[in-house]
Amino acid sequence: MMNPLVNPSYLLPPLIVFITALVLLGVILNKAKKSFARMIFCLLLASVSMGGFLIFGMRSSADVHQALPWDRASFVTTYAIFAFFYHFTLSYTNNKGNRGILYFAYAMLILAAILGPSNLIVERMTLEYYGYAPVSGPIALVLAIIIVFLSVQGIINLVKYDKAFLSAEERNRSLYLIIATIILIAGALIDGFSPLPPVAIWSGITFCTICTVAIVKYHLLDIRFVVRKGSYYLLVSSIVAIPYVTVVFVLTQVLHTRFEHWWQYVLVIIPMAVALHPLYGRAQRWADRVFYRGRYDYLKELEQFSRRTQDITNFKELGATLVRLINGALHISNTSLLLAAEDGSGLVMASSVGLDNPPSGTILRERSILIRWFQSHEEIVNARDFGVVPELQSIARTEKHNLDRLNPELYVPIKGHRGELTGLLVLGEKLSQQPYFLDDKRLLSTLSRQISVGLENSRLYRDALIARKNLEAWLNGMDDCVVIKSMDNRVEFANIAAVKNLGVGIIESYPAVIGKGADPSDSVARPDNHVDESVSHHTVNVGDREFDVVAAPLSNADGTVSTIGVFRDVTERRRAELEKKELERKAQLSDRLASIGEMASGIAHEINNPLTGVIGFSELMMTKDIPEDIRKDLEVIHDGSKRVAGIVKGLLTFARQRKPERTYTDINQIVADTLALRSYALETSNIRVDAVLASDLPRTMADAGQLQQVFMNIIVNGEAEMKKAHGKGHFTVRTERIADIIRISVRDDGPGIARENMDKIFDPFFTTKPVGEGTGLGLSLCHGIIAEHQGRIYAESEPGKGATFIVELPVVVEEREEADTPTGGPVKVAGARILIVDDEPTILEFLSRLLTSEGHQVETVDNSSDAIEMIKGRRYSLILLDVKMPDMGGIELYQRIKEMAPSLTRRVVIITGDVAGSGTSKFLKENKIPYITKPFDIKLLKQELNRILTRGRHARKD
Amino acid sequence: MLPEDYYFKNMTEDKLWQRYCGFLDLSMDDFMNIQRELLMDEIERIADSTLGRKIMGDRKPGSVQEFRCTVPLTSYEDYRSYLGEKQEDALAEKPCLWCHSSGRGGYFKWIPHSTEFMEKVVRNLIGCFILSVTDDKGRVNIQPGFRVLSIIPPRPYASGWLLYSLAERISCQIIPSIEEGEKLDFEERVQRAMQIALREGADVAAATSSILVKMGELFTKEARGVKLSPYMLNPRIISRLLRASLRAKKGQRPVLPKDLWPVEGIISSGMDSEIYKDEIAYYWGHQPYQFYSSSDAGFIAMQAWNRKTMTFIPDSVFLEFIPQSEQAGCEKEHNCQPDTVLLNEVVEGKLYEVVITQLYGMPLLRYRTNDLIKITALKDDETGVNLPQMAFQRRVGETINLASLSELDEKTIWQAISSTGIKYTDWSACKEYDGSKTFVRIYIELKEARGANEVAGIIHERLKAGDPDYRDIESYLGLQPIRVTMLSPGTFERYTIEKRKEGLDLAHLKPRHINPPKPDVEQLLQLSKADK
Repeated sequence: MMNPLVNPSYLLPPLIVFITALVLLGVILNKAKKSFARMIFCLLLASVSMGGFLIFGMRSSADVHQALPWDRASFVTTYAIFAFFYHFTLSYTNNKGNRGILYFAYAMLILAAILGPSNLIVERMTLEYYGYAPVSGPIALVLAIIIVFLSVQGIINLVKYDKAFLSAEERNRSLYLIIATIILIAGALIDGFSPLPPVAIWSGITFCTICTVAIVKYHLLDIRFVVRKGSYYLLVSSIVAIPYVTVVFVLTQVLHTRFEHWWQYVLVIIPMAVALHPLYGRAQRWADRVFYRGRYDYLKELEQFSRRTQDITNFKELGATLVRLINGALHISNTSLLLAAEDGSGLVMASSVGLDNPPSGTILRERSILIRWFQSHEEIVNARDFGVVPELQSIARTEKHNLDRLNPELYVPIKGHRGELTGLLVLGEKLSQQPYFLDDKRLLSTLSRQISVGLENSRLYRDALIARKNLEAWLNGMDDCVVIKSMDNRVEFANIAAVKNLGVGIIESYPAVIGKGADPSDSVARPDNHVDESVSHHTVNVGDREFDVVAAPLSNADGTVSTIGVFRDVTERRRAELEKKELERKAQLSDRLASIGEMASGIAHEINNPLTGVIGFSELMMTKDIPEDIRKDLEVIHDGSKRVAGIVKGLLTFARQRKPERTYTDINQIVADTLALRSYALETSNIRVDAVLASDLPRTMADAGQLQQVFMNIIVNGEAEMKKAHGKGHFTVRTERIADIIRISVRDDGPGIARENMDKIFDPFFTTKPVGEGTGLGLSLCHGIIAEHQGRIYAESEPGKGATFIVELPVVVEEREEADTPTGGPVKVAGARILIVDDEPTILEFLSRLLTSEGHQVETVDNSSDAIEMIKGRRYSLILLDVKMPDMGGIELYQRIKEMAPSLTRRVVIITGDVAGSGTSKFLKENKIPYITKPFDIKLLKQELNRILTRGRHARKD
Repeated sequence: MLPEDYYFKNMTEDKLWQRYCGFLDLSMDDFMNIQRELLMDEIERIADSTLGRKIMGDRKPGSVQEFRCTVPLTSYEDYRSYLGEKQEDALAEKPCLWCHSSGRGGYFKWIPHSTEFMEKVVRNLIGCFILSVTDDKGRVNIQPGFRVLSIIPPRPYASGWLLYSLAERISCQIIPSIEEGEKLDFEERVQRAMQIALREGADVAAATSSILVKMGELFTKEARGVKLSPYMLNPRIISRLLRASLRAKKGQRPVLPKDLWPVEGIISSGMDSEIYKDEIAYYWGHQPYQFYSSSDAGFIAMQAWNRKTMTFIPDSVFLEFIPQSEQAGCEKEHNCQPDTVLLNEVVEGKLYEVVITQLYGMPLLRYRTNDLIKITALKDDETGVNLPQMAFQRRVGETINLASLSELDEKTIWQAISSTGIKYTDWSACKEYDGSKTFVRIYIELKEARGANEVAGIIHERLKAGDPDYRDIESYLGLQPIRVTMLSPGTFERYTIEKRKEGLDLAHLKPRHINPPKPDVEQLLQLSKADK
């Protein structure tokens, strides 16, 4: 047998007590709330520590004589422990009575300290089989009785305190102390009154530990929970231990002859323990089921709930499931779940169970003091704490009323990961009428964290869904096509516009196009999952549509890279751009031609005046009896003048001087007539003509003569070019209707138009022919005529591949205007008084002679001022006014006449060589004034004047 | 079980402390949050009532700021036509009681109190008791059943209602009982209280400071000539007397109240608490625990366990403060609406007039209390209280201005008189002109023979010692501004008798200390002469 004095199990426990009590003392001083009770408890722990040290001294003594003083001192400290314990219970329970006992206890402590060194308490020491044992003196028994008395009194204090409180936590705390004290007394009694080895030292350790835990964390442990669960686990462990011990026993019996070293046993035991582990797990689950009884299934379900909350997207369903499970797990009368409102207005009722008439809507406002409080506090709150915590005592009445309707007993905050209050569980009372114990609260605390995660997941999932739906809605609402493709050229997303405009098939076959220039492989993916910005722009054609494509890499969350392509249909835009360009070109051309027209008009005016005289007088002279040679000379002059007049007329036509005389015209017929007129020439020039004339071509209002002139010009030009190029040629003449447009195209296979000449071909006097072969007015005239018809003429050509001239005319339906003049030719009128106003003497002379010869009374004047005087003084049948005069022009003079006598204006005829001028043209049109253009054709002049004079008579008749 | 008993039975000490004294642990943010929450609740409650609409108009303020900007500062005159007639239909909620309050100049006021408010007031009173009997934070040394020796004005005064409500909500023994006390006049009540306390003992004494001192003096007189009477033939009384006698002998002094009733706390309110605190400590064994309250507002502030400066209570009334500079500028202008600050805006060392808004459905909004307080500190390091600390200074207008150099208020003069050591019965002071010179005339009734000039000189010296501004008066004006008129013994007592005969209210049985009305002064002088 081992000498007990060197046995570590004999020596170490008191040392453990000494150290443990010291550590606990430190913990108490550091953690426990400052109070008188704490001070007393610290003295108690100091005594325990001191006792441990003294007993260690005693046990490590060499002999009984050496051990005796240590033991005597330890007896005094043991007594001190109980005296302090009693004092502690008084202080802790706030018990003001029994002071006499306390004084007595301390008095006895002093006595024990005095008598301690004598043999009245510990007489001597003996050596027993377990170590040193004291032999009690005469006073020892008295002190032992006092110790028991103080312990019992202390326990009574605690029990009274326990009974005085309805609070479960309070009762638990005092229960802790009662149990700890009983253990301590039991140890002391065993040591004092039984021959068993000393156990008080161990009960001392247990006592200290339990008390300290109760004080430091008194509201964190539930003794009933611990005891009950501890018992179950003890049972489980025992059940598991039985086969285990049996196996070990059998093995050691069987193997002890074979195993020589301890580690051989270890090698066998470890795998056996591992093998038995599943059995322990099973038994533990069984214990859990027994321990939690009715809750077990709900708890399991709750556990699963937290796993699958992310699958539940319906918040209402989530809340309903949650409150049902909690209500069932804890056997509660009612449970409500309040969740943060989406608009941040506070907490709203999400779901409830067990309430007859649960409130709805906002229960707590956003700035509610309760919400604020929960945001800065973690703990679960009992409804009765609303009467305790200063902030909660001040909850607004309306909110208190709302909460009262939830029949609350316990409030469990649900907090988000940033500490914000995302929800609140309001639990009613337990069906058992029991208060909520700490295990309930701990369970709820754990659950609230799980719920929070679950709700957060569900909320995030819902938000993600909403975000995705929004994104899809936004993308689908776009007119542009959006296509996202993966690295392996799989289409990951295509919006509605993409499917509609590109077609599913095209989308599937288009990843390469999308990625063109922006393929992820072209980009350098960085380790931080960012992709270098590389956005490509290009254009693709899909069917007859043209798309601008912007493609860019997208870095995905998983590190892969996709490509997004945005297709914008630019077909219409391009068309509009082209049209705009054409319009601009036309506008430029029109401007240029208008300028040239102005110039030509001016020139024509200046030429027309003298030319009128030359032609007029030469004609007059030719009507007279003159020598033949002179007549021939006059004929040369007259012909030459007429030729000049033709050129001037051409210029004026180009400058739109002459209004087209529109009739309801068949364009096909004009084309056919023109071709027929040139058929011989074309045939002889070895030029073939293909005429494709649309049978459904509508008729339109047009000047057939002018159009024929246009087509003739085009054909003659083409004919000449083809002939010059290769001595033969091929015309394709086509008419067709495109919407409200009649299009006439004349295509030749000549050399085409040089690119640099394309913009000039309609310019007057521009010609590629040698000097003398063309005036360069042909196409200008064509342009003028077609413009006057509100149409357009243009050419398309590629050098070496021929040219196509296209004429487009609007389809205009026939307008029937009331005829100004009576049907039939004008009747010759004579004897009219005519005033001619012109600054050009030649004109005055010519007209005077001509009209006099016709039997009229003619007066002439070369300025407007005199003309006014004459008009004031005499009544004229006709007043011929020149437009351009030095001091006062014809237009101004007309206005003055109008002011004098509006009726006179009906007798005014304008003579002008400048109708093309925009001002003159507009004036004539607005006032419907008849006009005669210079140079005059005598025949036509006479006819026109007669017509005007006749009309005047008709008008007067009217 | 009474409502507050429930808490004592079911709550741990720290929770009890939290319930009754937890406001001392609040942060400024918490305090302001509570104030805001309760004010918004109050606005909701009263917005549709007649008085609410009268003061606030038809538009309900949506925030504290809006409330302060749109609702005018008020006085009792704004409510008198409704409250003076106890028109309950003008209120938002039916009151549980109407308090009687002594107004200035003899005009008393009726103030309605709601049940909810009274619950808070009782809770604060219990907080007072707890704080008055402890020197440590967190210690709750009273339990239901405690005994309160109380000499305070009975119902319908607010203090009487307060005790009544206390007894309705927690088990306690009021000495003498409320019903009995209300039937007795003041002296009889003091006598009866001492008789009962002699037999029953007392845990806490609650009375105004001057009364506590008076009781001490009275008791001392009686104890010197203790005559055996039948009620003393009670073992408890005999035992108490013997113990008291032993204690007195040990201290070589006469028997004092503290020998007979080793009360654990003394509660008092009023300006004289500060002045009499040493005397009270002498007679009763403890310095008085002070609080600042009014019948309009209940408890506004109270001391912590160290019994020094006072801390504001967050849930009695909504608090605003008019800086003295603003308040002084408006003193003569009836319609003046000075700016106010909130508690989180007050400045240490400054004087403010307190403006209250009642909560819990009661009608007084932005009501000027005319009380000037001083913010002594923005927190109390000794107790760890992180809220502004205050001390009551004086009533608005109750000062004597001396050539704009010094302003003497009741407290200053009272402290000066008390510190002379001259035994006096009472005093009253007002401003007096002599040609172009200004003086302070003190009418004082002494309990010992002294000359008027001597007393004036001593008081002058004391004032110089206690008030730095006053110290400069002599050097600037070259005069000693204190003049004393000695009143014959018993003058103040006769004055009280006269006033009682006139049927005046309890609060007006004594002349005001500062600037009493001229007729009151003349009456005092006449009564003084009458004795001669």
